[in-house]
Amino acid sequence: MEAAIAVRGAPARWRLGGPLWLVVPALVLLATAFIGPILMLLSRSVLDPDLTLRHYILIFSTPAYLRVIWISVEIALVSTAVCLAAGYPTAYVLSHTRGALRAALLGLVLLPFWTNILVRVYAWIIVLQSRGAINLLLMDELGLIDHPLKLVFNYTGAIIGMVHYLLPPTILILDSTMRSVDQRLVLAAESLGATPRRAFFRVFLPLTLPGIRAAAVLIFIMGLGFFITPALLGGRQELTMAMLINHEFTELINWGFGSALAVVLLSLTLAGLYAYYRLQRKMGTPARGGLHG
Amino acid sequence: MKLRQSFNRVARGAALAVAMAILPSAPALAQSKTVVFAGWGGSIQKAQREVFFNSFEKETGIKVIDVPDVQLAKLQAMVDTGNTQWDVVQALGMWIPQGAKANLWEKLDFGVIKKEGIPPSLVDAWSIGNSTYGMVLAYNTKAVKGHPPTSWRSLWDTKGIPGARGMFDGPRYTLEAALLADGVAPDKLYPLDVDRAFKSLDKIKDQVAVWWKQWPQVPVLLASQELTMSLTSNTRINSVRKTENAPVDLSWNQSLMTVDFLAVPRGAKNRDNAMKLVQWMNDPKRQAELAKLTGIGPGNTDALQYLSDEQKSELASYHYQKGEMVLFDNAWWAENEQAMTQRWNQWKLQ
Repeated sequence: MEAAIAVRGAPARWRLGGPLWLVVPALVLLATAFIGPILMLLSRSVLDPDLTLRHYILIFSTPAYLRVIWISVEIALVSTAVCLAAGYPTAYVLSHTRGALRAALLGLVLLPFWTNILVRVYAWIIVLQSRGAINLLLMDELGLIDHPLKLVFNYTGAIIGMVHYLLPPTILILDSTMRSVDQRLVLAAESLGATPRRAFFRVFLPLTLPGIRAAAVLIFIMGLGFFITPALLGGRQELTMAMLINHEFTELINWGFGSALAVVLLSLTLAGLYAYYRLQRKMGTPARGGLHG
Repeated sequence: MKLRQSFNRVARGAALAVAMAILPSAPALAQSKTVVFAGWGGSIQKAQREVFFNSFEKETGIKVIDVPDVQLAKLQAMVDTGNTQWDVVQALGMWIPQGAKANLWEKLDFGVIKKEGIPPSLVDAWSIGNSTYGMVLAYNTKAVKGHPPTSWRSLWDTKGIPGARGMFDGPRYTLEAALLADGVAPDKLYPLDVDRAFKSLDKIKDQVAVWWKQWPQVPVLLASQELTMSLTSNTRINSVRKTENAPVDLSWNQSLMTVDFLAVPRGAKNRDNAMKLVQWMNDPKRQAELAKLTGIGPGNTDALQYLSDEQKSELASYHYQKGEMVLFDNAWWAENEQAMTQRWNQWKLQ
């Protein structure tokens, strides 16, 4: 709690000037090497070569492209939900351990982060395919099923791959929020007669809500931009915006249309961020947690 | 005021530093003892280094800088900004007409480059065919249980030869296979009857287990019997068959021959050296050496005389000569790929 108060007090001092100048080099670099080029690229979506809206009209008048937008959003939403459901208990355990055990658990969470994404994807194919490790275990070793489960090259495969990628950041965000919760509040609730279950749901969970919201938004935004994972682990129907954009730019050299798709994706991302800040304000909690602290 | 002046000075200094870092130094340009080759990278480029570049450097004293990940989009960006960094480009067949339309190529110097041995369909003003591949029907020999597939019709015949099918997730090659399977004569394949192709694809749409996107996926899936048969490229199948002894084989009948061309981008800084390197890579003996190392067919068919029957039988150029293959039509695809991709995406999401 002390840490949170200190952070909240900080902006007052910043407004006096001085330290703010320290971010100028970073801003200049971002503006010239990132924001400028991106704006130039995105302007191609309406200037190809003259002012035109035809790329946007094509996107919003073609059912297939609308479907791709929806598929991208849906896959990102489902992955986020699975990540939160799987990440919350893990982060709970992680935030309640100390010392060597915590370091070891943290290492396990971070391990996939250090592995190349293509290596991970091909490893998942080996594990999930019809003669893969999981199906062989269920069929030959345990005899639970007669026919192999279809775990890859479809919706299931795409979600498994994406959750694997997005789970570590989810856990890290939730962990940082949970560690900033004052455990004495939970103890106080229990000493006043609350069962551990009640203390969790009435005290601990509400205190971690900002972290859950931060994780949800960040993971959803990351999930919107995926293309390798759904391309290789998904099936015919798992076509995302990022896959289309990649194809338009590198294969078809159709930069105008590719830029228009990128603008739509960027708008969805910004809409997600806007929703997050609105939500944080409405809930009466200043935006903090994983995204900021 | 003072602050702004000093800021301007800093800004100018920074701009100069950036410019110096980006621009090549003048002496290097004047001598032009280098040539930059852009190719696919990986094992292919390693073999090209061994067969072409090392000997070229020794013979001419011109250093070959070979860079990977050649892409038409990158080339377009370079030419558009007047900063062409590549001198010789290994180009996917379609890039030649696409690039010609966008004025990305220099004319080849046929005083330096010899056309002998190159089939007329593989050479034009901007490019010369250098390597050939087959888009073939490959299969797992155990999974087909004594009924090896003989044409694209076998891929559609899911009752006759049961088992999981694989298809390239894109209209290229797939539309051709669909038409050939539907009975279109190979010499009447182009221009493609697109409606008929999609109707033919409808018949196996739901039987296809994997719509793959990356070439390395297919040999793995065939070798592990995740797939029974699939469209794929001949070089990868031959390499897993030989190096890993995997139970896979392929049918050349009705397969498509695709060709990689060599071309010189507009504004290439070492244009003369580029022409020399193209001719060096055009040499039949050296192309035969590359074929032995990689299984990539020679663009120059004179190369075949330096190879044994067994070596030849693995090369697309040889099967094309025998009349078993159809030449992939780069011009048709350059004209139609955008429309086809759009239709493909609509079709596959339905």
